[in-house]
Parts: sequence; structure tokens; C-alpha cells
Amino acid sequence: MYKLLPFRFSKFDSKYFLTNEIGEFIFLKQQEFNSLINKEINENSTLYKNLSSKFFICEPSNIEFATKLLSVKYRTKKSFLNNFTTLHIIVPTLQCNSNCLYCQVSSQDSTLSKFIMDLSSAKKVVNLIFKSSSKYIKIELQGGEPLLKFDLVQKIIKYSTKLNRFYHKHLEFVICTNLTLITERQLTFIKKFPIWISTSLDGPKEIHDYNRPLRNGKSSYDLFKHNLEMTRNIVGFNRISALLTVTKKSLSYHKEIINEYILNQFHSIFLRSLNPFGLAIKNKKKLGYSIDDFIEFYKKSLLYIIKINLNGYFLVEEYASIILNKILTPFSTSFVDLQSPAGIGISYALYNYDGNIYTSDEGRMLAETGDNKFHIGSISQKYEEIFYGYKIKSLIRNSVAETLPECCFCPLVVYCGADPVRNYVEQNDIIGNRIISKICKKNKEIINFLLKIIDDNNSEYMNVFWSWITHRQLNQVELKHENNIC
Amino acid sequence: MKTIFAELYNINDTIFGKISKKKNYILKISKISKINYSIVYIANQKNNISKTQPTIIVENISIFNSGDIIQVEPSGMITFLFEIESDSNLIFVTNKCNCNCIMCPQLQEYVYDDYYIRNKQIISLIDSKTKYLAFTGGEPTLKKNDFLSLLKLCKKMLKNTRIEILTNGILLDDINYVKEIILLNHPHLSFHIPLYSDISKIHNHIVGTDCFFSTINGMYNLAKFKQNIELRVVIHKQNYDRLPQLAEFIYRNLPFVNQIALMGMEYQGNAIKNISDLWIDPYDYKEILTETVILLNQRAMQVSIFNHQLCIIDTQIWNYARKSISSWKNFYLNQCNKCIQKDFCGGFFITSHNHYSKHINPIINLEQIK
Repeated sequence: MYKLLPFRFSKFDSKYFLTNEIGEFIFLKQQEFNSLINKEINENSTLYKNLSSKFFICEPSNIEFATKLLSVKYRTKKSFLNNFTTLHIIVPTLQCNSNCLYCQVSSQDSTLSKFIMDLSSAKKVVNLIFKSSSKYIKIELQGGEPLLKFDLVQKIIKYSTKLNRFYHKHLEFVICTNLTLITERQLTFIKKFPIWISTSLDGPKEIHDYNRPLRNGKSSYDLFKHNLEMTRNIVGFNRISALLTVTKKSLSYHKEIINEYILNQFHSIFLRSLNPFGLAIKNKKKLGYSIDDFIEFYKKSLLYIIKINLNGYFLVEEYASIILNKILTPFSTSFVDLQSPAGIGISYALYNYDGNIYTSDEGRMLAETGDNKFHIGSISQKYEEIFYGYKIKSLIRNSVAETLPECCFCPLVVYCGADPVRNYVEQNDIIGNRIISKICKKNKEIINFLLKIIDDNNSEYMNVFWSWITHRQLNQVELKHENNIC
Repeated sequence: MKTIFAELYNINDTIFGKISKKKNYILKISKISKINYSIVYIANQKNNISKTQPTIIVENISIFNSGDIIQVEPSGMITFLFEIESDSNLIFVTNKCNCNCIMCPQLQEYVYDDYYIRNKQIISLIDSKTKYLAFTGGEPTLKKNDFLSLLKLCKKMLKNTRIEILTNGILLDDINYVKEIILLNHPHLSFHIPLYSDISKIHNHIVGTDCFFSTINGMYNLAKFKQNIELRVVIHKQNYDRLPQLAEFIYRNLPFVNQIALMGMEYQGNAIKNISDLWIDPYDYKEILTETVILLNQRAMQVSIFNHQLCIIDTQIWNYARKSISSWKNFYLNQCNKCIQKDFCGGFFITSHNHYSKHINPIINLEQIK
């Protein structure tokens, strides 16, 4: 008689959907599910073999080794934890030449000099960053608009590079910029270092300029277009990627927005919903929408993007790609918003211009309203006090999705993650209640949408998914046709 | 191994040596043969041979190449232990095995595992420019220390030769043994390991012993040292139906393997004895084979198809088919002469005694296969 190995399950349309701790899954008919639970499956049946191949059941004599295999696979899935804090966000300044309607960082007018990090603080930040035990260090320069203080940005990059001669870490930088101020001289500098440029593109001119007005009244779209070309010419084509923020105005233009990404020859798009922070709350009427509106937007956009891939243009939807990696591969994904334990502090941290350290961007925003919930220290403290301190420990202890109410029974938990910050902002409780959680609804709907496509097993769609997962062109994923015919 | 028969003169012992050709063909006798002559002449006719000189007479003398290593038995049987022109030379470490696979092409009638001295000699005679050399058996790891010494010798004598180890991986379950192999620091090792099913019971039934988990753990041990692993899946009646599930199992549990070979059967030895449990016409699992290749290719796993003829597999997986049968046991049917794809097709095993698909059908024109 077989034993059941641990798994979670829920109804999925007329079927049952089961996952285990390592993310393997199976769809069962009602009757198959019943016989599984009642231990009535015949050991020569295909169902028995499929369940045992995926480690849902096991013969008693094999339990020891099955557990060993499962633990190897579990370690692989959670290997994002092997490296402690990897992503370090520095805010050199809050000044910005743009005044985006949804700005979540409360950017400031470029004339206000008090929102700037000084050089000695910047060095202290870099010293702290290199204390991280991670072999990989990514320093992301955010803002405000970091190019407004490019001299400081340069110094941070040069100083980090110099320090790394002793630390020998895999060091990378990201500059988050709206691109409107970038100059040839800056790009010549950027080219020399392992720096990636992350920018924003919200869609065609009308939408982009509406969401992202410049303080001087000029069109940010026109400058973006011009500077994108210059950037690519100088630093190379693939060093720049763009992020999309979906606002109320975007909802009825999914095709136009996606086409704009293709027009600008981007091969990746990230359909991100609005974050309920900062200005986005103030401008809620102008920008906001219900989570259902977003889910509908996401689904139709995803289908459109798949079609574009099938027509021969490689375009990855990043959110789907992350989730598909979790569902279909044995590997670990390092995306801080969809991980368990949550990424706050242990995967990424934010160093503010004033020397305060937060678990994340949102944590810094809360502090501006007087709430220090996600403040984990300041640059004058020792590394150990900040990163091994009580604050981070107590936050992480309550951010392990597998232990949270509702999540602990949800078969999707292995593809999802804990979001303590969002829970806190929406419900004033880092554990949160899933029944009323918008982020839970969004993730569930999106993951189920992807699972439905996987269950349908349409070979064209699956080829697109695998091309995203393995970063290969569609024609490499499809079978190469015979070339040895005379 | 290739064998031929020849007429022998003045040779009454089993001798062993390396072919050398300058003006004439000669066989330089290796030291271990312990006889009182060091050179054997090779000729294609009896005229002019001396009465005392050891000589081999073969009709087709060009069957020998300078650098071949052969064994000559008094009966006249000549075995090619190493062929300079071949990329698939094998060193038999032992014929003993800790498995008893139902489709093993070798019949385990007697156990002989005293090849060590001879193997040492072969390795020291092998041309140093040789690209590939495979260790096999039986199960080579059973002669644990002999095997380690042979690998060590390869590292010393054959610096640029890629060494392929054909093993069932069972003894690699012992991490200390794996460490000993790794510590030799040989730069070009690869391990070729069989996995026949995603279901332990089926795999164990096929190999005749309870080793599914040892083999997998053996691979985990190799992966810890980032070793090059090729998985070998021989397809027959016992396992063809779950090939796609096996592929998914490999991706989920052994994603680090570098190559997966899906292999057709060679009907010899045990395979003939158990033919009713094994035989399936490869044509009957055509769709399953295609599905498996699609699945592995989607996942960016390197996959090849061995020992299948092009006319019985889908054209969309032709690119994955390799001409995998060693030339000395490879042949084509008469009807294959009509086939426009013959040059690209791997053909058949001579050793398989006409056990091949009923659907072999020469490809005359392209329309036929579309």
C-alpha cells in the first residue's frame, strides 16, 4: 500500500489541482482524487505511476530515498536564500525633473538641495553593502532621478568597483532613469562599467506624457525616444530595458501599449499594476482602477503578447515568465515580490539619501508619513545590528507564505510569495487576511490563468512559454526541421 | 569488437601488439605476451614466407592500419582491441556486472575480470592523438582500484583524449569513490549512465537489481563536482510508453545532465533470450519518440536519437538522429540502396539478427515523407 507524501490541493474547474512542496503539480478528476485519498489506486495504473513520478505518493520501502530526493529539490527551489541580501537600492537624491502622476517615492523639485546624499554617507553605504555575505551584489541607483546627481552616481560606482578588488564579488549596477536628461558624456562612462539602464515606458505618446509629465512642461515621450536611440548607439542595444506602469488610462489601450514596446524594439515587457503608495493614492481618481479591471487587462494583454510571439517577434511578459519558471522548472527564481520568505531585508534593502535604511521602497514611503514599521537601521550602525537585528527577524518570521493563514492550504503558495509590506499598507497587519487581499486575488487569478493554458497543453502556447523560460527564440524551441533532405 | 580469422604460421601462443606499416605490415609484440620473438610479419600470400618467422596471412591486408592494436589467438582469431580509424574504441575493464539487464547484449556466461595488465598495455600503446576512448565492461567501477589506475594512466599517456565512462552509476552512490575519481583531476571525463524509467520498479525490473535510487544518487554525487553526464535510455517494450514522463522526470530531478541519448535496441545476448518481453516495432512508438524529443528540446535539454532508421521516425526529429552504430557492426538492407537518405541514416546492427521494423521503407522522394 502506498503512502501519501505531503501536498496541497484545491478545486480547479471540474478537476482537482494538486501541488507539492517542490512545485510539481497534477490535475486530477474528481474520481481520481477520491481514489488517491482512499488509497484505492491500482499500482499498475498510469495514474499510480504519474503520481509516484511526481512524488505525490510513494511505496513505504522507498520513503527514505524519496525524502532525500525531495529535500535536494526543495533546497534547489529555495536556493535564492543561499545568497543573503543581493539587491541594494541607493537613493542618491529625491530630486526629479519629472512629476509622474503615480510617483510612489514623493520626488522633489530639482531646486531643493536638501534631498541629496552626501559623499561620506554614500561611502558608508557602499562599505555596508560589501559586508553582505552574498557573492552577487547588484547596486541599483534610484531616485528621484539619479542622473541629476551624476557626479555622486559616478563616485559610488567607482568606489564600489575599487572596493570589489578586495571582495571579488559578482558586481553589477542598475541606473533607474526616465532617460530625459541622459547625455553622451554620461553614456560614455556607463559603457565602461557593468551598468544596466532601467527606464520607463507607459505606452504611446498620449499615455506616456499623460502619466509622466515633466516639471518644465515639455513632452517626456519625445525626449525618451531621442535618448533611447542615443543610449543604444553608445552602450549597446541590450543594456537598456523598460518598465510599464498600468494606469486607468492604459486599460483600454493594451494593444497600443504593447505595440509601442515592439516599435521601440524592446523584447521584454512587465505588466505592472499601480502600487498604492505615494502620489498614486492622492491621484487615485485619475489613475486608479479595481483589481478586477487590472486582471482583465492583464489577461487580454498576455494573450496578445503570446500572439505576437507566435508571429515571430520575441517579447517576454516578465511577470508570467517568473511564474512559469516556478510552475514548470525545478529551479529557483529570484524575484523579490514573489518569494517566501519575503525578500524584505534578506534579498534587498534600500539606503535613503538621508542615511536611513529600509527593507524596501515602500518602507521608506511609510516612514515619510511617520510610520517606521519597515525602518531597519541607519548607516551609522554596524552591519550585524542592521541585517541580523531583531527588526528584520521579526518581519521575516511573519513573512513565510507556507505558514500564513489561507496561504498554508493554498496549492498556489509554491508559485506565489508573501508580501508583508502590501499587507501592512492595505490592512495594517503584515500577516494580512487573504480573503480581502487584492494582491492575493491578483496573483491567484494570474497563476490560475497560466495553469489553465498549461492544462490545455496547446503546443504553440507552450512553445512560447518555454521560449520565455529558456530565453530562446521561438524557432529554437520548436523542433528544427530536417536539413538533411537532399 | 571487430574480429577476423587469418592463417597463422609459427604462432602457437596468444600474442598481442600494435600494427606498424612502413614498407610492409608488421605486428610489434607487446612485452606482456612473454614469447621469444618481438615481431610478426603480416602478408596477403603464402609465397616467400620464411619457415621460422612468425607470420599472419590475411587476404585483405588493408583491413589493418598502422596504430591498430590486435590480439592474435593460435586458432587464427584476430581481435581488434583498438582501431586507429575509429572514434568508438572500448576498453573492457571486466565482464563482471552488478546488474543483469534484460536487454544486455552480452551474455554473462563466465566471469573474467583479469584484463588489468592487458588494458595497461593497450593504453600505453594507443596513439596519443586519439580523440575518444570509452571504458566499459561489464561494469568498470566494480574493479575499483584497477579502474582508478587505468584512468590515471590515461591522464598521463593520453593527455588530449576524451574518456567516456560507461557505467550504471550504482557504485558512484559512494561519495568517497566519486571523490577518488575526481581527485585524479582528469580534464576530459564524461559519465554515460543508463536510466530506463521514471518508476523505480520498472527500472529495477529492467536492470535486474534494486538500484534506481543508487544510480540517481550516483548522478547527484557526480553533479556535486560538476561532472559531464550523458543519460542513456534504451527503448523497448518495458519502457517505451512512459518516455515523455521519463523526460519530464529527468528535467525535474536531473536537470544538470549534459546530454540524453534515446537508443534503439541491439538484439544480442540477453536481448535475444528475452525477446518476447522486449520486442516492439520502433514504428509503433514513433509518436511517443517525437513527443519526448519535443519535450526535452523545449526545456533546452540536449537530446539525440541513437540506433533508429530515418524512415521509421518523424522527419521533424531527423536532426536529432545520430549515426551511432560502430562501423564494424553496421549494415544496410538491400532496399536501402534505393533510399535518397541512406547517407544520413544510421542503418542497422549486424548483430541484431534481422530484428528490425516491419516498416522500413526506402525514401524515394520527398513527397512520400510529407
